[in-house]
Amino acid sequence: MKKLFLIIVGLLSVALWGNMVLGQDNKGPRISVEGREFDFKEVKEGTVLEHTFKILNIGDEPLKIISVRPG
Amino acid sequence: MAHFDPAVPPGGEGKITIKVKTEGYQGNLRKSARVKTNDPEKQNILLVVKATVKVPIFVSSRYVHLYGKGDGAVHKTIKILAELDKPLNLSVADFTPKNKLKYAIETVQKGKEYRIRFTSITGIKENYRGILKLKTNYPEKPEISIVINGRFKPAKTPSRHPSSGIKKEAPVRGANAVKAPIYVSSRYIRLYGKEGAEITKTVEIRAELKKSLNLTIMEFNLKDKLKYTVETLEKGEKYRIKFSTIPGENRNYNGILKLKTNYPEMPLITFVIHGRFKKK
Repeated sequence: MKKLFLIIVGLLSVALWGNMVLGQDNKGPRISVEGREFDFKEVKEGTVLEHTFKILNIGDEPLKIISVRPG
Repeated sequence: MAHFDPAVPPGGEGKITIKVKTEGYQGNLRKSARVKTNDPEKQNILLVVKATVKVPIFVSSRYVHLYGKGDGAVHKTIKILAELDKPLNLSVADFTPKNKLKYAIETVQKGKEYRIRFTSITGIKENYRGILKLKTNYPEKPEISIVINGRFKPAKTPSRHPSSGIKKEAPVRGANAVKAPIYVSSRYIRLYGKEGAEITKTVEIRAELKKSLNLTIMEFNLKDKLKYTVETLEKGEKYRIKFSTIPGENRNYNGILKLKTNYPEMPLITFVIHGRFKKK
């Protein structure tokens, strides 16, 4: 009986922990960017370079981009 | 410049587009954008775009800074290289600081490589600024301008031991003094000290007009010699730049940090940096 109780408690804790960890991953707004650096390699002077970074919201709440400034 | 989607729904996709102009650049170009989000774990992320800007004519520096006391000649040399597969010819179109300094154009390799040596004239103890304008036979780059900055005026050093107890009053700005659109606490960064020591200097930049001020780095030619950080004290209004030497970098150097602003009244801010290190 004691053994069974311990097994149940153990299973419950594993389930709870798993839920906490997995649940935390996508709680709230979550940004994911595909490649944070882009190299244009060789370009001619005078050209205007333009690159679009794809961003994903892997969270469960709207993701806001507050500002994008030279850094 | 950047465009972005201000909001992305859960599970959705958004875009951040970064635009960079390459005019006036040569060699390695690196621009970064700081993205501020409401993701509590990634409130700030940095996006970087890089490129190697190819120019038809490589100029080792477009700025020549000559500093001294005027008692002896000071030299500076710049290199001009043809990057296209055709002979390059240069001719002088204009030279404004005529009687202040001399220059000589030396052909290292005909049609390919040239060297321009600037030499100050002994006895001239004044500051000056001018340009050397070169004409080329490349339609891709018909003109090269080199800005010359001479600093030979003896600096007025305040007396360390004032003989009298009278305090000098700080100069008061005239009532009709013209206020600059951007206040810069100092344009000269002197990092003087002993070898190996870390020396820091900070300057402050403040918007004096009632509109948001943005700064971007345009040129920094002391990459391996010193570090700098741009700190935003008040968004769009006040910035602080901290320069610090890299311990172990003991050789003297001169260089510049050029900032681009969004103010058409003052599109550029240039800092002249001097590193002078004494042996221990």
